[in-house]
Amino acid sequence: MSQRNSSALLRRQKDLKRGIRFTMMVCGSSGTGKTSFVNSILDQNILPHRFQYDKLQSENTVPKTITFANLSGAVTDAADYEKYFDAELSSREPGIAVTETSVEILDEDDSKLLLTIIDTPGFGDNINNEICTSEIIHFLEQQFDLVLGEETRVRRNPRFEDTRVHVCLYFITPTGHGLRELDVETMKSLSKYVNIIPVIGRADSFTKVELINFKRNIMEDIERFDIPIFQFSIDEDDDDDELIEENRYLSQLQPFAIITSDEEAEINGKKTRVRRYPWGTIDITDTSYSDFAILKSVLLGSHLQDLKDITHDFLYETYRTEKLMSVSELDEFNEEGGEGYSSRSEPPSMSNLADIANSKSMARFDVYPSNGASARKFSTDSTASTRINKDTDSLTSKLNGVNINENGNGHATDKIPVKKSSMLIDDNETIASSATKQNGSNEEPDMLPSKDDNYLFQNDDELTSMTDEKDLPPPPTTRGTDSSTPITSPRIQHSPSLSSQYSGSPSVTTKQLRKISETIPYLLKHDSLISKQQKLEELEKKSAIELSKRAADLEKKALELKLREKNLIGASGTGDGDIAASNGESNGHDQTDVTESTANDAASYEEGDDEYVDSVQT
Amino acid sequence: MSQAIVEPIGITNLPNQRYKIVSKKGATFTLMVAGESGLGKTTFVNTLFQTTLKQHQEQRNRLTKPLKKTPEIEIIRAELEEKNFKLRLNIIDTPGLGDNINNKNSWLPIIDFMDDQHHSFMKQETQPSRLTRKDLRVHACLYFIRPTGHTLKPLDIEVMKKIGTRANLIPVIAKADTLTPNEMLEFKKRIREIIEVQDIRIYSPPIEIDDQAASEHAKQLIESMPFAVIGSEEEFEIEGGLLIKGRKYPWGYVDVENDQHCDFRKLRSLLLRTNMLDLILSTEELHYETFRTLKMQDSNNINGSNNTSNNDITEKKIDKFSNNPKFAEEEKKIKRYFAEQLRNEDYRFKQWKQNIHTEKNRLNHDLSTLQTELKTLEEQVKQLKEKKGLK
Repeated sequence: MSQRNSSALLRRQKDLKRGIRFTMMVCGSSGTGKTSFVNSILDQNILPHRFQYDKLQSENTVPKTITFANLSGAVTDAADYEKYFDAELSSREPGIAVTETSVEILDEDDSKLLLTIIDTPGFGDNINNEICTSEIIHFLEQQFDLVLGEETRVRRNPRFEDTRVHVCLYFITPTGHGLRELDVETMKSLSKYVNIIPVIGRADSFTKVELINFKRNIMEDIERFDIPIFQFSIDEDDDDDELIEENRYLSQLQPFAIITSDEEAEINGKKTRVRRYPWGTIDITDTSYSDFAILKSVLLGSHLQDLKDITHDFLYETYRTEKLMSVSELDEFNEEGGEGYSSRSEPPSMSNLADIANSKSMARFDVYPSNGASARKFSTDSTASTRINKDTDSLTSKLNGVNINENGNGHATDKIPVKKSSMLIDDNETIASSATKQNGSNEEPDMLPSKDDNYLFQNDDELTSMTDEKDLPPPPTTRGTDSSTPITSPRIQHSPSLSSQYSGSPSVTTKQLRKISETIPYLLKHDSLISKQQKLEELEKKSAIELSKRAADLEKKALELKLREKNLIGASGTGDGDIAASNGESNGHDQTDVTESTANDAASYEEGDDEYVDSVQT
Repeated sequence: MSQAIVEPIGITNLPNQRYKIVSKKGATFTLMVAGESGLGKTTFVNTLFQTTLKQHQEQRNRLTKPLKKTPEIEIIRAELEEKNFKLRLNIIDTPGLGDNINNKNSWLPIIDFMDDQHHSFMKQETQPSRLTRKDLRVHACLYFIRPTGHTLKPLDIEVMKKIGTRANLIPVIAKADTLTPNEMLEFKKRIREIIEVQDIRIYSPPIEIDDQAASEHAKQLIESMPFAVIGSEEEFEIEGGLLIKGRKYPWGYVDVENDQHCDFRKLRSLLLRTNMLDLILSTEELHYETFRTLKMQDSNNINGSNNTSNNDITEKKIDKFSNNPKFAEEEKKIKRYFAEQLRNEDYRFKQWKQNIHTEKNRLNHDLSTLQTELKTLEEQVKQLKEKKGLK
C-alpha cells in the first residue's frame, strides 16, 4: 500500500477512512491454485479448499453463492458440490457458480481494504463448458447495470455498494503447451468487462526452461488471438523513471507464474508460506522462481487504483455508452413500430366506425374530457376525480391502487442494491426484465403483432407510467401539459389548427421519451419506456378513433346542414351565387360570432358525449 | 558335463524349447496413453522406454493449427531389443482429448479406435490365411489424470468408464511433482473412492497365492493405484557423481526412479517387468472375448430375426453420426445459416413496419385536411343560416 501514487495522496487519505473497496475475481479450471492464491495473498486461510470445508476456522468466510447454472440439472448447487466430496456425484457435471467472499484487511498504517473475492467454482469442470463463460459475463454485466441504474437515479442511495469487479485473475492450466480453447474464449469475452491478468498457477510444475517456454507460448497465443489483457502501460512522457522501469519490468514478466501455499513456515527467521516436497521446500515469496510477491504488490499496492480507474473510466464507460446507445436506438425503432401498428389497426375510413364505437375504449375515452378537464390533476391528485360520475369512481379506485403500487415501486427500487444478490439469482436476461417484475407489467419488450387487435385500454400500464413520471426532474406543470396533450387534443379538435397539432404528436412523444431516457433510473427505464409507449399508442389509437368518429359526426352534420341548406335555398329561391355572397358577408362579421358558434358546437358535442356515456352505462 | 549324472529323458527341456521359440518370435505390445494435453504423456512414454520414441509436438506447428481440435489417433511403432529379445511396440497417443470448450463425445474417436481393432482382428481370424495378422488391440491404456488435488472431472470419469470395458485401464496421476505428499494421499484416496463408487473397471494385477513374493508385490501395486508419475527426458548429476533421470528445480531435484518421489518404478514394473504377459493375455481372454461374444450374438441375431437387430444397428449408426464431433460442426454451421436467414427476415419486417408508419402519417394528414374542409363547409352553412335568418 505504501507504493501508491503520491498524487492521489489526498484522495487516498479520504479513502482510507472509509476503507478501499476492491473486488477481485479468480477464474480458471479447478486445481489451478485459485483458493491457495487467495489464501496466500491475504496471508490467512480464508477460503476453504474444495471438500475441506470442515477445516474452516470461521463460518463467516464461507463463500456466498450469487448465481448458479447447471445445464444437466444434476447438481442443484455448485457450492454444495464443492463442500463435500461425494464420489456418487462426481460423474455429474457441476455446472458453474459465482460466489463471493468479503474480507477486511487492515494494513500496517491502519488503512482498511475491503476485499471482495469472486470465485467461479465449477469453471472448466464440465464436459460442455459453454455455459461457464456466459454465466460469468452475465454476472459482470449485472454489476455494471447496478451501477448504471444507480447513476441514473434521481435520488441516489448513499450506501450504494459498488460491486463491479476490478480485476480478474485468469488461472491458466499449466499444460506447458499453450492456451486452450476455453482459456482463449473466456479471456477474450471477459476482457470487455474486467481487467484480465493471466496467471500461471502452480508454477512449481515447470523447470526454469519449461517455464520460459510456456510463458513465451502464452504470450504468443495472446497476441495471435488478440486477447486484450491488462497492460502495464508505459507512458514515455511520465517523469517518473522509476515507474516506467517498474511497468516495463512487469509487462515483461506477464503472465505471472506463481506458486502459492496454505502452509505457513519460517525460513531464515522470516514468516512465509511454503510447499514441502520430499526433494525440497519452496518459499512462495522467493522471486527467483515465483512471481507471487510481485503480483501481490501489484494487486494490493501499486496498481490497485489503476485497476479501479480503468474499470470505471474505460470498461464501464464503454459499456455504459454502448448500453445507452442501444436503448435510444431501441426507442426509435419501437416508436416506428408502434406507430405502424396503430395505423394498421385503424384505417381512418369511416366504414370501420361502427366496430370502433363498439369497443369499450370509447367509454373510457369520453370520461377524460369531463374528468376535471385536466389530465394534470388526474396524474397528481387522485382525489380530484372522485366528483365525477360512476364510471370514474371505479377509475379512482384503480388510481389509488396504482398510487400504492407506485409507493411499492419506490421501495423496490431503493432496495435494488441491497437485495442485489437475491435478484441476481433470477435468470434475468436483461435488467429490463428485473424491472418488469417490479412494475408488475407482463408485457414483453418485443411488440407482438397480435396486439394490433387490442383496443382495450391498459389502465394499469398507463397509470403506472404516469406515476413514474413523478420522478422526472422537470417541474410537474410542464410534465402535466406534456402528458396531457394526447388526452386533451380530441377536445379541441374542432379547431383545425389544433387538429394539425395532433398529427404532429409523434414528435412530441419522441421528445418526451428522450427526456425520460435521460432521467429516470436505468433499471426502470427500459420497462417504463415500453409501457409508456404502449400508453401513448393506446391514446393515439383512441384519439384516432375519436377523430374518425368526430369526422363522421361532422360529415353527418354537414350532410344535415346541406339538406337544410337545400331546403332553405329551395324556400328562399336563391341560387349558389348567394352563398358566395353570404360568404363574403360573413367575413365581415364579428369574431365573437364565430367563437360563439364554435362554443355552441362544442356544447352540442358534449351533449352527444353525455348521451353516449349514458348509453354505455345502461 | 551332463553325462556324469543320470541322464533325464529331457521333458524338462520343453519350457526351454518354448523359451527359444518365444524369444525368437518376439512379442507385440500395444500401449495407449490417453488424457488431456499437457499432462506429460509424451514425456512419460519416452521416460518409460528410455529413448525418444515420440517427438514432442513441434512448437512452431502450434501456431498454425486451429484452436479447436478434434481428438486424433497417433500411432508410433517401434522395435525394442533387449538381450536379443525383440519387442514390437505400438504406442497410441490421443492428442486433443478434452482440449475444447465442449468436450461432449470427444472420447468417441478413442473408443471407436479400440472397437475397430477388436473388430478387424476378429475379421482377420475368420480369413483362410491368418498368418499375417495385424494386431493393434490395446493391451494397456494409461489414463492420465490432471493433478488438481480435488477430484476427477466428469469427463475423466466418462472416458475411464468407456475405456475400462474395452481394455486394461491403468489410471495415472500425471505430473506428480506438483502435489505435496499430503495432497497426493488425499487425492489418491478420492480417486480410489470414485473408481469404486462409479464402477470403473481398472486393471489389477493377479495375486498368485503360491508365490509369496509375487503376491506381495502385486498387493503393493494394487495399493498404490492410481500411480503418481513424473516423467523426464533429462539426466543430470547429483552430488556423489550419480547420474539420475529427473527434474531439476531451483528448490531441489526430483528423481524419477525414487519411490519416495513417485510411483514410476512401480508402474514400469507393472507394465514391463512383471505383468506384461498378464496384460496381453487378459486383453486376449477378457476384453477381446467379451467383444467377440457380443459381436457373435449380434450377428446371430441378425441371421435369426432381421427386423429388431437391424433397427438396433441403424440406431447405433444414427447415434454414431449424431454424436460425432465432426458432424456436430456441420450442424452448427447449418444452424448459423438459419440464424442468418432469420435476421434478414427480421430486418425486412422492420423495413415493412417503417413503410406502414409513413403510410399512416399520410392518412392522418388526409384526415385533418378533410376535417378542415368540413369545418369551412359548416361555416358556410352557418353563414347561410344566418343570412337566411337575416332575411
